[in-house]
Amino acid sequence: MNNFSSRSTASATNGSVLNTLMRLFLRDCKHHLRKQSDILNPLCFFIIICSLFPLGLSAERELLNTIGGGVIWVSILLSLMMGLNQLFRDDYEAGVLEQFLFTNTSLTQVVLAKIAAYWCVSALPMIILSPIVGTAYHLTSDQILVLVMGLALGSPTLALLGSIGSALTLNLKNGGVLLAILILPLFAPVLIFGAGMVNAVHIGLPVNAQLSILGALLFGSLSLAPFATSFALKNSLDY
Amino acid sequence: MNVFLKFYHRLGSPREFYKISGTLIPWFGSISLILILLGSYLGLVVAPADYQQGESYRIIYVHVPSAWLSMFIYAVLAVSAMIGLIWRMKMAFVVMICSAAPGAWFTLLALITGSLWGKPMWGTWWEWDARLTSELLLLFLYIGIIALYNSFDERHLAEKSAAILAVVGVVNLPIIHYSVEWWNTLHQGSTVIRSDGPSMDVRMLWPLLIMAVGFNFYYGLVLLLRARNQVVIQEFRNSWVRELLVNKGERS
Repeated sequence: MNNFSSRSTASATNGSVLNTLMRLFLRDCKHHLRKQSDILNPLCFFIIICSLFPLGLSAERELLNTIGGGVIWVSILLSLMMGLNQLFRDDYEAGVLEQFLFTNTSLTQVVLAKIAAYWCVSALPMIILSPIVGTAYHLTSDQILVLVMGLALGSPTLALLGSIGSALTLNLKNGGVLLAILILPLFAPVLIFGAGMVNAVHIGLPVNAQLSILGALLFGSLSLAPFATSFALKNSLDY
Repeated sequence: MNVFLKFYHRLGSPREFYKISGTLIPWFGSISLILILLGSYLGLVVAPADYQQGESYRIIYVHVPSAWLSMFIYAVLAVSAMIGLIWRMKMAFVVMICSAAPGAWFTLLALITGSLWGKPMWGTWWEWDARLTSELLLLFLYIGIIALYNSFDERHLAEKSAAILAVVGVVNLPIIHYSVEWWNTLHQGSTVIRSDGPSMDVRMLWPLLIMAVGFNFYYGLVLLLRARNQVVIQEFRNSWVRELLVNKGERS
């Protein structure tokens, strides 16, 4: 079950910022690895959605090639959204988030570490599996390369932006659906550029612009989203 | 100068705002009615037909002002959210939450009138191009803000959460405005807000601007009405509200 040993957390005064981030990151990774449904549920969800589309539409090669990038991107997006509901909930219910506030641990660091752990545990397996799913969708090798690059740049952005929504809906009863409504406008640019790259490569157009914009979105959200998330967390904790 | 500062200072107090809005509402109502009627007459009757689109371009006099309003209201919403978060002003949050519904309606109106215009002009009710999609995202942002505000039981939590979401979503506004420049879109480019000046004929431009200002005053009217109600609901426990309700009850 939940094991929150006090030695695995540290306030910023106990060591360098990197030390704190590392400890928080490892703690969250440990927590996720013990609760294996955190990893497996989104992964299975991703694979199942990707499997449903060829069944629902036709399994024709050309069609799957055209929709493949978009379907894989949307499936990963939805799976991430499923996991984002649980991002802060376990710690919130165990009272650990309030303890972080009381011990003056920077919530921004907590948020960064949590998102990093969440990305490693949820998104990374999906990115690793995406070439296999891409092959099932008859994507060519350069399409798959561009897909993986886009996912590597885009999924951290999705996790960061999604954490804002997750923090805002933390203590709401029906927060799940609301989370989806809140996050969708923020996810749309990443999805448009990321999935658009796969089709662009197939036509033969360059994808430098999309890659650059995805990188810009990543660094923009990496620098700004943790502050928004920690502010929203403090709000949800009624601090 | 002092008079203006004092006026703005008074707007920040719920009780004073109630009084001020009481005097402003008839003005906003009559000005918006006159301007909208005038703009409609000038646009529908006086302005000449378009050389390409004929008479059916006249939906522009509803479509463009409501689109402008949808973005303007979101800007007002986001700015008042920031003011409320930074300076913790009650009235700022009142303005924020009372602008959300009118903003959503104007966005919906822009999307619907755009769709009605698109069918005869482009042959399609909808396209997933940048301008239309980003305006749809704006509608989702409005709905998200309203939904988030209404899902909290305690108002101070609700206000701050909705304010955070509003500030995060303001990045969509430049995307909407510049979407016709940055992408190859079906929607036409900017014809009014351009560095070279408007490229629209003057006889068509004036009714458009009059309608836009009229819509703006209409938004002001709706905002004042809703904010007035919201202030009374929020400040219910205060004595001035009780006196007000008692006095109103006695008079009616």
